[in-house]
Amino acid sequence: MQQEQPKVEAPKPEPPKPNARRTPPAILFDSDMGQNIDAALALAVLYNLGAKGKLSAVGVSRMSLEAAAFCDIMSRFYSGAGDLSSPQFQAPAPVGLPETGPAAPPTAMLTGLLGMKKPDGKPLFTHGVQETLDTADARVLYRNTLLTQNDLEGIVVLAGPATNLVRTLDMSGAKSVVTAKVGLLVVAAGAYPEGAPDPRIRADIESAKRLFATWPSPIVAVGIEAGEAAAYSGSRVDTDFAWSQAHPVAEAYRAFGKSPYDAPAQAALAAYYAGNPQESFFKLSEPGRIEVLDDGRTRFVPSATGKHRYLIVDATQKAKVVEAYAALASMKPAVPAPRGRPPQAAPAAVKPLAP
Amino acid sequence: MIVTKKKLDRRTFLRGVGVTIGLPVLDAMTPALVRAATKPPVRLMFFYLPNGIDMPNWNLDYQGKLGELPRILKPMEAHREDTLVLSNLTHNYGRALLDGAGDHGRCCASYLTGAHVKKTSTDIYVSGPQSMDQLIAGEIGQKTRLPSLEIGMEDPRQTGSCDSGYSCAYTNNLAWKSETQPMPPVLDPRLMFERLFGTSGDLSLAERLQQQRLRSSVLDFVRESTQKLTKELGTSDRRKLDEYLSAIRGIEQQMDRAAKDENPVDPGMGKPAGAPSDFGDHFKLLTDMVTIAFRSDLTRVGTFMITREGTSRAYREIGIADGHHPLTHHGGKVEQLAKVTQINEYHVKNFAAWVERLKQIPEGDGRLLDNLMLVYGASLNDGNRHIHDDLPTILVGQGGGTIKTGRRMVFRRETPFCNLHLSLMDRMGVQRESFGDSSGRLPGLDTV
Amino acid sequence: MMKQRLISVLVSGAAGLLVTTALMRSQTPATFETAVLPVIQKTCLPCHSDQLSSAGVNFQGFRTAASIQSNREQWDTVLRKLKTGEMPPAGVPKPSGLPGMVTFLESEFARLDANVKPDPGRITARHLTRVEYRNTIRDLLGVDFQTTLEFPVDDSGDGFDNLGDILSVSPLLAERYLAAAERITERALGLTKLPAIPLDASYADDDHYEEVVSFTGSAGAVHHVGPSFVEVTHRVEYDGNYVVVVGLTGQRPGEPKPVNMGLWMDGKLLYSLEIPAGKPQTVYFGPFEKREIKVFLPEGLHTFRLGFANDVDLQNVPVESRYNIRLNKFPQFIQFLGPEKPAEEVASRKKILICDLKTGPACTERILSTLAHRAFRRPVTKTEVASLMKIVNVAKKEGLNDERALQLAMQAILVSPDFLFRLERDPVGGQVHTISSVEMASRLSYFLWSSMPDDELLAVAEAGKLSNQKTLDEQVRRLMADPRSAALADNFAGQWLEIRNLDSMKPDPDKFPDWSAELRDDMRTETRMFFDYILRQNRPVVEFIDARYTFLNEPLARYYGVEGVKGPDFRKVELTDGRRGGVLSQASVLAVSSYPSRTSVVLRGKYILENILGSPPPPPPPNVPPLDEDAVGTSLSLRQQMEKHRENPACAVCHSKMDPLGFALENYDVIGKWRTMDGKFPVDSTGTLADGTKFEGPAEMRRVLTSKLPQFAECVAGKMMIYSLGRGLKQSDNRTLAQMTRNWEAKGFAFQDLIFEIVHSLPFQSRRGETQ
Repeated sequence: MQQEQPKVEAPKPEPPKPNARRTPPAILFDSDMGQNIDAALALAVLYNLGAKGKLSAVGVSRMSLEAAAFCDIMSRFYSGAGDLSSPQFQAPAPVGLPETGPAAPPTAMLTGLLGMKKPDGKPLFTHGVQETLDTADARVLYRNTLLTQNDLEGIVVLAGPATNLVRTLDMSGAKSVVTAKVGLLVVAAGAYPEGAPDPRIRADIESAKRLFATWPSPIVAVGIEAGEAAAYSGSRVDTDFAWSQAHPVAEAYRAFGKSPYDAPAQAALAAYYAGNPQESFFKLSEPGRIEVLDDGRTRFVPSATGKHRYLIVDATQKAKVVEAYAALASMKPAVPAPRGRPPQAAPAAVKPLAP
Repeated sequence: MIVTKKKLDRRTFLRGVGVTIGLPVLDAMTPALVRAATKPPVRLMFFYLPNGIDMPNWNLDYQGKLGELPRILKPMEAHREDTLVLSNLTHNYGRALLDGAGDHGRCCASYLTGAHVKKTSTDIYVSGPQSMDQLIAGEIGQKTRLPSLEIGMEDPRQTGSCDSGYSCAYTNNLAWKSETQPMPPVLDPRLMFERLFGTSGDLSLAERLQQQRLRSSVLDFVRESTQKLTKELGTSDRRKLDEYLSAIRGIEQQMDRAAKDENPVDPGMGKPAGAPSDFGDHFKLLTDMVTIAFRSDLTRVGTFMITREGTSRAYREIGIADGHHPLTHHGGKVEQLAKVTQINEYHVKNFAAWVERLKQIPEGDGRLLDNLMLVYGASLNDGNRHIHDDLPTILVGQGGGTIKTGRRMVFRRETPFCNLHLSLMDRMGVQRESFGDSSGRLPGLDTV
Repeated sequence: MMKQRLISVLVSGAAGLLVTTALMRSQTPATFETAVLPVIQKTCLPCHSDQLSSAGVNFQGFRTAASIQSNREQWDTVLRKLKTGEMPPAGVPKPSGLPGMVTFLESEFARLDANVKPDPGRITARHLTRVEYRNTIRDLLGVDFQTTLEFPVDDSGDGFDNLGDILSVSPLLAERYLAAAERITERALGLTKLPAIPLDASYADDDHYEEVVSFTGSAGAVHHVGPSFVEVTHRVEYDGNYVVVVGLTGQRPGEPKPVNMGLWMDGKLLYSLEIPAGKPQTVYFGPFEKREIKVFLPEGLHTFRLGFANDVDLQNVPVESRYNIRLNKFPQFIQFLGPEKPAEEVASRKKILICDLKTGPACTERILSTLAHRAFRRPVTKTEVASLMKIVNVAKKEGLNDERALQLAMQAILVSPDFLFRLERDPVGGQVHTISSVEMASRLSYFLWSSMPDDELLAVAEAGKLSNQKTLDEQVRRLMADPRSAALADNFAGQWLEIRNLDSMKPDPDKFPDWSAELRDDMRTETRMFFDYILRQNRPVVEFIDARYTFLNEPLARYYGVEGVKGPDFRKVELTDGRRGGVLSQASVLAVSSYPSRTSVVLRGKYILENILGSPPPPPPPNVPPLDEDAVGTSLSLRQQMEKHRENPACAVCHSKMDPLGFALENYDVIGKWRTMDGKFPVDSTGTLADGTKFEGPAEMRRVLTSKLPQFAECVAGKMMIYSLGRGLKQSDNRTLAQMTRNWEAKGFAFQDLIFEIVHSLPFQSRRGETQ
């Protein structure tokens, strides 16, 4: 029998276990794909981050099936799962589109690219977006994706109107998920410390206001000025993407406007920063607060307690910066090994039960 | 060689005065409905299939009006006008998220709770705080004799582990009354019979009332001693007794409701002798009683677990000797997959046969079926790869004219399954802003 | 050659010990940096790192002494894997520093634990399980109430169905409790109102089915368990006398001898009748002549067997003609008619009515306080008895007679939480405290008997004597010696070894014609008696893994191919060949660890890891089938199949642990029958464990498992701890478990000593309170 009875108080709750399995941070990318070529470059950058970040959800901030189709083409291109005939085929994750909203007219970049044909007349790029039903409600897609992440490891990159992100915050229960999971939001929109209104802001001023006012995580903004400082020079396209006969980004670039032209790289910078926040050749502003004015202009107000900063491209580093993101954008993807077995066709042999 | 004689078993009903056997706690009474000439109430029941479905033989390759149906759904072709096929509903909380393996445990427990349940084999917890059927029962249950009905057809696994780190409570039950209280299904038709109809219908009203006075004196004793006890117990112990106490209160309310009623319900069937070994016989017995329960408004919401999640039941009835779950991990083997298809088909066949019987039953100036919502489906898409999106789901009945059947509706990908719950709750008169991880309601259920 | 391998293993083990002790004596005290870090850097990190965290384990966070405290649970796992030789896996060279690391970790854990005050944990209040309820009613009122027919199943976790945190009272269960209370009390007092018209249940075989249905309306099936025997499972609705009508058709040519017809219920002979050879000599009695048997049948679901005990004539009937009614006579039809009220008084009634109710309320009060006292497993207060008497008075006012009034109060007792729940009071302010002597009585009786304390135990407890270890041990010894401790075999072993799942087993009848209800029951009996013997004879626990004996009756012996066992009774049988020995060679275990249509080396390997070695493998990832053994016996041998399976490294990690163990059992088919061929391939039962040990066949594997005795012992101890407490084990229980196992080992692992270790352990003796 227990002779002397040890006196103990109720033990304190066991400490939370450190998550043993370490995965690359999840990245959500929401953009106005098709409006500018930089979003396409950004997408390519994100697919090539490797261990630095896993692109886990892609959405479009305007109601554009063509834009969704382009994103689907990209995901098939980079997962190597594009070819329905290949045994590795797995339907790629759905692309997010706004919950509701008027259809945005397709741009030359999108119509041009989607119109391209192989010699045999088949489309040059296959995709699975025929109707809205083939896409996901971006709010749900983002919420569900974040739930698979370790706390505060999620990174969101926004290169378009804030519509989807703000609606996500509004969805019941979703704001707490964003608060718990997202560690950083990189916004490729605005001009800093101030400047002319960015179309990405003007497209939905109300949402932009609410995003900067209510988004729970720290925000790093990449302004127009940074994008122009480190523009992507048209002379590179043909060489950078030469390894692929038909690279959707290269084709998109050509379809977008008369090549060669230099493309501002706001979104691509944001994407690159999301994967390489420690990069030495980036400078960040002091902390502060970003405000959105009624006319769509942005203003940066320094404040020691602010959660917002903006990215500064040091003129002396310009070449390095461009080289870095361009190299990543045009990197040849390593096609991942297929998981599991290919789905089997239903057996024809068995006869149905007698009715 | 050994000469054996095969056995058959068709003794499904008790003979003699079987119907008055056993002492019911409650006596079935005709409900208010029959007296009041109001619009018939809407009733809801979920029919749960384990281990996913062989999707290539379930999926339709068209939207809109239902025409020819794929192999597994073939038996429903006769009822296509009353059937709504729903596609792309997703249960994100069935996925691992950060909890690793155990899709069977999760998908079953999250199906109606809309919760990502705690991965544990010892201290179960569902952050529901309750399953949607129990939410509904909590609000409208007092209108009927039984707030809800939980039915199953398979003895839950007795021992051993159920699914990688998930307690068997997660795979044995669909309905959760609270975070920690699952509602076990009735498996034995005989027990269900006693639950629904009691058995002293042959007593006079005076005798029944006396019986109830006596019973309440016993229940008073229980309530007093339980309340006294809880003062002496720790919080977690108290929770267990509170569960008992609330169950007792529920029974008292049911007795009061019964006491107000004059005429006992005539089951119109003998008392089942027990659970038949044959799946078809068993399913028919139980569903026929569901019919009566709905028809006489004994309950308005229920769950029917065709078999428990992860089951390895073999289907001798159709010559399949392998277990269901091992079969679903067919690794693409055609002959294994074929057996899965046959099992899926066999379930639908039995369900369709019941719908056929249901269609014959009038209610108000229409059919009983017009006022039902029977959701039939699984919480896994492909049982081999444990896929949690595009859950195979059909809805039978028109929910009191609020559902346009006879078509296939495809929703956007990743549409939360809980959106269906929200829409069904509306029709049961239980409005909520959201349920589980819902993002809204399903659009266009009532418009073509 | 096996011996040599084994010896070498042992030697290397011993060597390891030497090194260990050497290290312990080494002058410079080992530190985390000297004893652990090097091994982690060199051996662990290559696989368990940020880059590839194999099995989801990452050692990055485990490189400081501090982490031992912060991540103790993971470190416990690390130590276990090192000690069991699971890690580092075969192929990775064992670093010389390994023994040093083990020693350091052990001493470090000990040091840390010394500072932490032990936590006995807390058992949540719970209702009696179905089994406990049935046994308690049996011991309280002498009524056998078959709860499995009446109550919903008790959900289980950690392999046991008595965990307080899982069990909860659903409205359904509450309803059934009330119904049960009414039914049980009526039966106990013999007050059941029998139906005016007798019930009629008929059972027939195919030949007579339609015929029978035509005059009885519906019928069940008789199951031919042999040419002279039929069996039916029949639910008796009421205690009472029944007429059993037997239909004996068919005829026997020549000079048939008389037969002795018997009726058995649940294996017990109820009635037997000499049936003379009738005239004419070919027929006993008419083609559809009936015999009527009058017997008392207790309420519940029973298995009845009817047939000819000494059927000598059968030998003259060629096998293929045994179901030919022209050439043989055999039972084909049974009908149950009744009940009639039995003349004699029910035994339980006598037991309850300790005084004459007519003498007045004093008697009723006496009866009720006696019952309540036993039912609540504690002294009852005056107020409690008073409120029971209140119910009696209500009944009286309603015009019920004394007996009915008593019955109503008895119902109240049976639905009172004090009866239905296992309750333990907390002192105010949630500190740890030794449970009361009375609470201890119930812990003991429900642990060892799955039932209420008997009068002696309760008396001793209420005298406060259970806090005296000598008295406590005497009681434990007494309880173990009592027949009721067979509950351990049924409920502990039944769940630990998963024997309970036998009932839901449905082996493919075409592939396994031997399977039958009888064989299944014999299998269960073997394991039950085997466990019961080890318990009662206090045998060494190692005999579960390997024993030279088992328990057989004639049919099972024949099935096992063991000579010289005659008759239906089970007896201890010495095993001479290496085919059988220990639970892993018993058909029951082999059956519950198989699929209905095929064996599975993975299921069986997993079974051994979980239930014998206590180190369950992680579950398979989705979209990889748990196993892929389909072409086995047809296109590929199982071995080839599994090798293919293991080409996938993700699978190999775990399968390299499970498969070898499973392969060793390949000599037994789905229902445990010995075999040397699997399909058209010879059985290949060789295996190599992660630590490199090789073996061939079940006998050699058993010897390998025997060499892991401490690991097995800790596994059993852990399982029994869960069962005895009714809660899952927490990290804080690890040290208790380890300590218990060490003490047990010191005593030589005799089985009963484990039970004493548990009864003496902190968690069993005391509990952490909870602020109210």
